[in-house]
Amino acid sequence: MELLIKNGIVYDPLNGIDGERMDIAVRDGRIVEDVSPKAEVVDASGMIVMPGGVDIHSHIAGSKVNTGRLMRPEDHYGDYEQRRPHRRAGVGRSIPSTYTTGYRYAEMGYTTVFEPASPPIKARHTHEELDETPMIDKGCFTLLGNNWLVMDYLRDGMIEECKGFVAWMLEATKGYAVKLVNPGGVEAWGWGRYVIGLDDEVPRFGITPREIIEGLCRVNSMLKLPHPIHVHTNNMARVGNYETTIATMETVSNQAAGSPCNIHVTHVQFTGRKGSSWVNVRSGAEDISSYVNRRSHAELDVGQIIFGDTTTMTADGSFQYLLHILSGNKWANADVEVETGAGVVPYTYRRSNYVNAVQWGIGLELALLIEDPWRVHMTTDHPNGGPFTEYPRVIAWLMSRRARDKTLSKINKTARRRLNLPGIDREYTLGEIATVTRAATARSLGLTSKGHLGVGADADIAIYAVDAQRIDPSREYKLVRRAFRRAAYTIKDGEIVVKDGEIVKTVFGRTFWVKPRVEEELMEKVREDVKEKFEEYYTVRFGNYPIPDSYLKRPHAIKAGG
Amino acid sequence: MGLILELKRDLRVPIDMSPVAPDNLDGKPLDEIRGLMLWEGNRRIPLGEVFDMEKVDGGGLTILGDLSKARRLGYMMRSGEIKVRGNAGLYVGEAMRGGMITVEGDAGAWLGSRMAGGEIVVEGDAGDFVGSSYRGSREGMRKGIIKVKGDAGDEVGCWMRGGLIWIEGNVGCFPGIHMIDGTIFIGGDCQGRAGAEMLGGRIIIQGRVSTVLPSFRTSDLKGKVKVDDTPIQGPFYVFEGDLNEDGSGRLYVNKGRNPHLSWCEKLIGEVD
Repeated sequence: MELLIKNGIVYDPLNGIDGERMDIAVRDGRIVEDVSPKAEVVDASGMIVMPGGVDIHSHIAGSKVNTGRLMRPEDHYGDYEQRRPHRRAGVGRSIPSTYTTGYRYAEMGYTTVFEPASPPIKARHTHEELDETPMIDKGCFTLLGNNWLVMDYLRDGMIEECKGFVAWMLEATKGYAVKLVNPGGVEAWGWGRYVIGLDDEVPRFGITPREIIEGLCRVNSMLKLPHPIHVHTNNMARVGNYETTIATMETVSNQAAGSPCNIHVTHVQFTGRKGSSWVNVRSGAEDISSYVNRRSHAELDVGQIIFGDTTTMTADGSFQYLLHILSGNKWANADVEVETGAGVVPYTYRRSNYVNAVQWGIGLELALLIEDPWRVHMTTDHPNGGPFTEYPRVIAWLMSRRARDKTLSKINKTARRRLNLPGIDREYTLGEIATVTRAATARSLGLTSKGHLGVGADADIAIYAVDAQRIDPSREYKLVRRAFRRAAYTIKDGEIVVKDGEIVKTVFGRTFWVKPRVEEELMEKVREDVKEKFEEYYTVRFGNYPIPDSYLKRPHAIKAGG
Repeated sequence: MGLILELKRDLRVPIDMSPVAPDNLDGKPLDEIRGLMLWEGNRRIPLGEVFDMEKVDGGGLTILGDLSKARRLGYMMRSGEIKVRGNAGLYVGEAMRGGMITVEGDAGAWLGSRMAGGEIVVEGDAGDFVGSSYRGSREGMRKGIIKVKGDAGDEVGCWMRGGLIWIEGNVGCFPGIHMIDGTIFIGGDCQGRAGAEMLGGRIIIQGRVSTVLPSFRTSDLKGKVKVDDTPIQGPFYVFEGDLNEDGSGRLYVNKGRNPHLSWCEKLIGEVD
């Protein structure tokens, strides 16, 4: 199976290619030097060629996503797709069914997506849904920031045992990275208490969020995991939480940076609020970006808001409680034994709403003020900020001041006056868009065969019908938006799966998970210990907890050196 | 220019009539209208396969036959007129913006759900959820008028945000549940739990209602009440609620038909 993509304008930031006309050759699912004359030719003249999109943070599978689906028949009602050749029927705008999720990602030229919050005990469910999500490679992050055992180990200074436990957890749940959500705070809220600052004690555990973050960051680098700790910071429910965000990054700044960063702070738009109340809330993007510009150990993703109706869902039960109280909307909440919590609340972001308008501005300001595009990734924290299908809208805002001004002219006037956004001239280039949507995310995830078009890379390629040499994205942002909505071609593992924005073949990607190497005697000790704790804490038997490799459709283990 | 559609055969499975809105048919030649594709069950069929049609003088679209299996008549319509000479199925006038729909028989559930303008008149009975939101959503009817000459089912005006629902007969449980604004008039009896969780708006019940929810406060006794400039003779007990939701909706219950509620008279004016 050979392909030759001819005459496209290529954007491949990892290999330093920024808009050059060149051919890309593909054989057996990989990118190669050249192909035989028999290769199928894809004519990409007048189009741009990029690596397939890599989404680092998008809630697409698992128990909380499914709770959202169950809760929101109205989300399905307005958006359904009937069965067509090569694709099943499906429903859902902000929480599409699994098949539809896969199709829609592929149609936009995305080929790899990570589910960023899987409660360990529910990982089986997450993987069952991921297995039913076609078209994309995927993986999930394991929630460990409120785990009783982690907190016990760290409080008692047992960092080695904690390392062993995290390694065991990743393997047991087939997880890809260590995820912290409101570390300590979700557990505290379960006991009716709030953890506000990094140094507040988590009731009953004698540990602070700072100690959890530092400890897990250390464990992460001891295990040499491919992705840094992925942190949803404390204090998300409060105005003024931008300080917590900066303090969270600072607390690990003296630890040796991983490769290339040691902390990934996620959907920072939600934790970039300055001020003392909802009435005077302002953007803290300037302070956060100046920290990121000064220090090279931290990276973040934006979690951009899209105006309109969506469904918010996070393991941060306490934040969801606040959102439910503020909006009066229905909600679901769960406490996951020993491990974490969760909440789901439908929400509508309105242009006229002052706070929503400020939130919209914070996201874009972050993306535009952080100088290094390798350390700010484009996400909407799907579906929390808005559905991933609206990424093209975010791309247009980043690439065109005119597009931003147009939206600015429609948002709440007070918010417009208080935002810095109207004064920011920067416009992303196509190369920078390729960085924040593909190259940087793949690099951050440590996926060496993704996010670039060099020889040996997986042949995951997106081709968009936009003539980079003839249009000015800043003026004709609508053309750019349209092109990114529906890829001209999406190539997955060397096969054409999308043509002219339509699925032409259904494939199933791999599920990536990390298998860290830990000394066997430590592992023995940890297993004994965990077994005991299971008897004491869990409703599930220790033997039934781990997910065997054979349970997954196409598992792909990535070894990490410990 | 008008159009008459006559059902050729009995409908055995539901048929989705959403493309058959007057604004969508206006000025199109008959052949093109015959070729409009509809879903019948899980099959796509042309409109001409189930309906005979002819053009007539006068305006509007007239549909003849038993359409109780036809859904979404007048979906999203903006103007013009639809007359159904018979029964109609679910979702008549769903999300309509303007124009007029008349049903000479009965209509199914979800009559005028998510409606935002225009008028619907049903000569017979209507099903559940008249003028309500879709399941799970908080966006009920916003504007317009729905008149039902017969009875209606449960949850009339669920999440209603404006407009007028006028039911001349009896209704089931929960009229005005979650209601935010607008007016519901019920000429007959109500099975109960009127205005549960309502936040605003008015519900007027001319007939008998067994009891009023305990989360409503007795606030007044009124001789008459106006609906669209039409005075409606009472006298009415006026209740305010639903206090569980900090609501300020008003529930008017006819005094003469509900002597068993006379206990509330001594509570009028009492502040809790």
